[in-house]
Amino acid sequence: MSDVNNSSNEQQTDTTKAMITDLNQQHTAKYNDKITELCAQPPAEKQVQRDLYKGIEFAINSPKTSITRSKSIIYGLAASVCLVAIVGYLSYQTGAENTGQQLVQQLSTEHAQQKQSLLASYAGTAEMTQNWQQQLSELDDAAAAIKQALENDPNNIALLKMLKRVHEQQIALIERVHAPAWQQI
Amino acid sequence: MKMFDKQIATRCVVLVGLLMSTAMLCTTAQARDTVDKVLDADPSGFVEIKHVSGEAKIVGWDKAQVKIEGLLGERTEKFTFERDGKSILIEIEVKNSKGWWSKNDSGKGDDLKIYVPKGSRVGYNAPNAQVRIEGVYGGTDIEVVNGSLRAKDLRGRIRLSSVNGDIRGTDLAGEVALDSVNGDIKANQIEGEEIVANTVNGEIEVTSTASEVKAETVNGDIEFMLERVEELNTNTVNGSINMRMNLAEGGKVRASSVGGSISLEFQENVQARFNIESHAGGSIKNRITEQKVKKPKYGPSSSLDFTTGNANATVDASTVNGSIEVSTR
Repeated sequence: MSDVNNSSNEQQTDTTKAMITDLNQQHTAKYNDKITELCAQPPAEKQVQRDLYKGIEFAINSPKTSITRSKSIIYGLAASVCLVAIVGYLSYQTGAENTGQQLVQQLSTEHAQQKQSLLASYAGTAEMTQNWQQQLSELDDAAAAIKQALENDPNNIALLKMLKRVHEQQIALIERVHAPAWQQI
Repeated sequence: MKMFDKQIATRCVVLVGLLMSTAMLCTTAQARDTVDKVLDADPSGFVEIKHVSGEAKIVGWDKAQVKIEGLLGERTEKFTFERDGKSILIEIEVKNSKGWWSKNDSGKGDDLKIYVPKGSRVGYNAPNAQVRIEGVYGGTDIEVVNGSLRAKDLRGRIRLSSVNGDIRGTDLAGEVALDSVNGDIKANQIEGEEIVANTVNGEIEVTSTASEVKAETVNGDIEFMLERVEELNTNTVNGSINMRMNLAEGGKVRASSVGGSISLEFQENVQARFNIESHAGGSIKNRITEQKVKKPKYGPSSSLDFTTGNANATVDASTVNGSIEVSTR
């Protein structure tokens, strides 16, 4: 019984294979026909809008003097820019030095005014230390030394800060030794 | 006989005079009134103390009360001890003399002990007094002119100031500001964020763990030992600065002098970018690397630039005609 069943299954398999082979052959034939048809058609080319060779020819045959002139213009522009830059830099440098010196002058003038008005306001007020005027004088000397260094390097931030600090120390000293808060007790 | 009577009479007058003088002296001595008063106070209120001369000891305690005890000065004219809201005022006014800040003021001053709540903020000023303060955590602002100032175990915003007297501080934490004109400042165990120390002629000697430090003197000497510095600003006119520190990663040091000397000493493996400048003939010494000081062909200036390690911190120092030295331990 089992042999009969086995033989029947083998026949079914063979039939299926034969059908698949047949279908494949049909499909391949149709595919080949389509390819042959497509190959027979001419390719769709894009048409050129204008004649490029005219432009190329014009570029090759144009006179060389125009290129030289263009270069001259460029060089001229570059030189002008450089000149402007150098003049600008030099002006900036001079201006910066002036600014530094002006700042020192301004700081000194303002400080002198502030110091004088403060001393005037404390005139006749009791002083709490005996040596404060000597200290004030030493701070004046220190300010003079800083200003002298600033003459060589007018934009030196460290020196400018130092000068400002010495001025502040003078003001603080004057206020401290006269200490109006104490007078009120 | 008459002559004998005259002698006796003279002796009696002298004796009476002596007795009267003694009595007057005793009366004067007894003129120092005793004070012993207490007021309820806000635990974090403000206590303001003003007096002229003598001694005062201010102590923080756990009670919500302000207590004052001791002796008032001989020249006391008016004694005030009163509360206004969260503030308490203690004021001792004296009869005017030749200038109350004079060191030669005659007569004995106050001798006071004042207890304040620990959390109080205390303001104190006196021209000629010696003051001691300890155990106050709400902040202090102490000013004296000629007297000395001793402070211990304080917290918060602390300002200790003197004109001619010395300042001594121990165990201070918070924002600490110490300044004097002629007096010396000596402080150790300074903790917290910031310490500022200024003097004109006095010396400053500080040991601190504060990360932000500012120190300044005109003619005095500054000597700091700093455990970990994130930011240091120091300058002198003609004095000397000597800083020993551990510079933190990313830290900044700025030092300047006019004619004075600066010495900056760092930990062994300091990693920083150094930029040292002398503007008018000063000297620069590098004891950290082999980098030489550069001098331009013309002019009195000189400079030194170098880096160590990954140069994450910066050290900028400049002098007009003083000296700068950088070194490691």
